[in-house]
Amino acid sequence: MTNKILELKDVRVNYGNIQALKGVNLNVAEGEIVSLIGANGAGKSTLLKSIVGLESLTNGNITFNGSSIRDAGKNRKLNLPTDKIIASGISLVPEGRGVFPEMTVLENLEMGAYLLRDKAEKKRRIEEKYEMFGILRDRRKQLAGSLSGGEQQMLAIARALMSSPKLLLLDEPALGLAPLIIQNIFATISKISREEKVTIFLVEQNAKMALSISDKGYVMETGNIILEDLSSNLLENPKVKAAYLGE
Amino acid sequence: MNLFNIPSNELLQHLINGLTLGAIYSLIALGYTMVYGILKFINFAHGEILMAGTYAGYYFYYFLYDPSKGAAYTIGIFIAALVIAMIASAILGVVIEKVAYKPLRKAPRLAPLLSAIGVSIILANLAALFFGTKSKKFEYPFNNSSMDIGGSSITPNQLMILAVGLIMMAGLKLFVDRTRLGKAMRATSQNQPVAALMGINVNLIISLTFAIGSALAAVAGVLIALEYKVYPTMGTMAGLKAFIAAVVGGIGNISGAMLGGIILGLLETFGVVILGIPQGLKDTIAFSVLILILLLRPSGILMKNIREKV
Ligand SMILES: Nc1ncnc2c1ncn2[C@@H]1O[C@H](COP(=O)(O)OP(=O)(O)OP(=O)(O)O)[C@@H](O)[C@H]1O
Ligand SMILES: [Mg+2]
Repeated sequence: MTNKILELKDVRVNYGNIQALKGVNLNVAEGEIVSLIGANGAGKSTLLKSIVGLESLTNGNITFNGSSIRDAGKNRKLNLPTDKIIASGISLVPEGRGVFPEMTVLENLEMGAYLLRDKAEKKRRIEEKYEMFGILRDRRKQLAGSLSGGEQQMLAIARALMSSPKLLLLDEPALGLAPLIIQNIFATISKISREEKVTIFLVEQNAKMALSISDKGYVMETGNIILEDLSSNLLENPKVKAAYLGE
Repeated sequence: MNLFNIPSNELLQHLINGLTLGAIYSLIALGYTMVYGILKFINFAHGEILMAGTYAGYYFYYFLYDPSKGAAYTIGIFIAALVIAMIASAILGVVIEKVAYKPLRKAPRLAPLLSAIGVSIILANLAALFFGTKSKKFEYPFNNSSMDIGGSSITPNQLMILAVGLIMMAGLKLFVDRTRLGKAMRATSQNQPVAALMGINVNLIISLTFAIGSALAAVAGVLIALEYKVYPTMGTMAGLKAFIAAVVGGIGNISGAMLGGIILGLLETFGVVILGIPQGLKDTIAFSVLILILLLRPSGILMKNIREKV
């Protein structure tokens, strides 16, 4: 049996009176690419934010590598703050990329390895990211805010990899990008999964792309998981086809 | 040179006067701007944090003060008093944030602002209660008789203010631009949740910001005290002026606060000389500048308009 690197049990999150997550059960096995698809407002970003501690659970529990990182209870040991969760090996590429606009490309990459004290290793990782994304090397002295959307997405992904995470979470990496660039981004995500031994949990509205590169998929509707299957099956599922693939 | 019919020696004199005043404003303005940069909130207790640190430095100085021990000793305890003032203000700033602002981080914007005004009134009243309302003279640690430089008379204290201001500001700039924690501070001010995603302990950075801003204000407080004494409301007007300086430079922008302070100091000084504004109305200059800036360039003179591309 494969090792569950991430597991969510009956996770609920509220914003005031709005229930954004209504009891989500989900797991990601080590080495897989798992995608979560859903329409606007389904609760996808909320789910990712709750994993990294940017939103609090009102119910349920989240474990990473078998130990609790978020919990609805009062026990602080089960409920780590964001910086500790990052330190334990999770990275999130946030929706809208979230590069630091007034920092250079190089400084953005450095921030990604904030917890790493070893300067030589930091340098090695930066060099490695330049190899992976040549455009970032050319733009290293440029302010991140002046990059194009696609370049910012590359930077956000490279930055997230700077901490050498075991689990990479991606929130709509295709958002607002041209089709050719979207293909490029998804090819990069596949490549990262193959070559870097990083488990990937991908949230997308671009269902076709997400399902075509992932092993397993979940479908979310208004705070609930309504479908869970192998991605290849979901691509053939009539309901998914009608609602998310426009066929 | 004969600008506005002012003889060049007087021009130098006014320039030095304006720069010293400006350096003081800059030191205080940095605290407002750094806190605003990170929390998008004006710490209206900043002037009173300055006052409290100055009292700490004052009492430490007079606890050890002994003119019979010579000039070097006096300068030594003065430097120590400056450090004590910085530490006291830093601790107070950090504690105030934890007690009065942090619990209100998710409350409507107005709540922490009102809390800050409350804290400032409490601190000024506590100071009056414990230290008395009478001003206390803070003796110069050196002979402050003025020197003749290029036909204008400049005091050693003015030179000290310029030197200390320069060192503090250069140090801060280096810290923010070059060090790991400084970069974390910039990252946190640009995007707090994403900074947390880098593994930055955002609460620690917020505390550090309050500590540094408050310590810089304490330096300004001690320097002001040498010229104008120590009293419970000493931070109020200086704080307001420095707040204006921060707005002039572009609130949230560190270089802007430095520049805004210097500009305001020069405007106040030259406003009196050139426009013939009576000394008694000198304070109106700063507030007029504030209104002008808010009308003409509300984001301040140095605020860049870089937007995140979507
Ligand atoms: N900070 C917030 N305060 C109040 N409601 C919120 C907040 N953030 C999200 N919501 C609500 O929670 C629900 C889920 O939002 P979420 O951002 O998780 O959706 P999403 O699936 O990521 O959508 P999208 O594809 O548009 O990014 C929505 O109804 C949204 O309006
Ligand atoms: Mg979203």
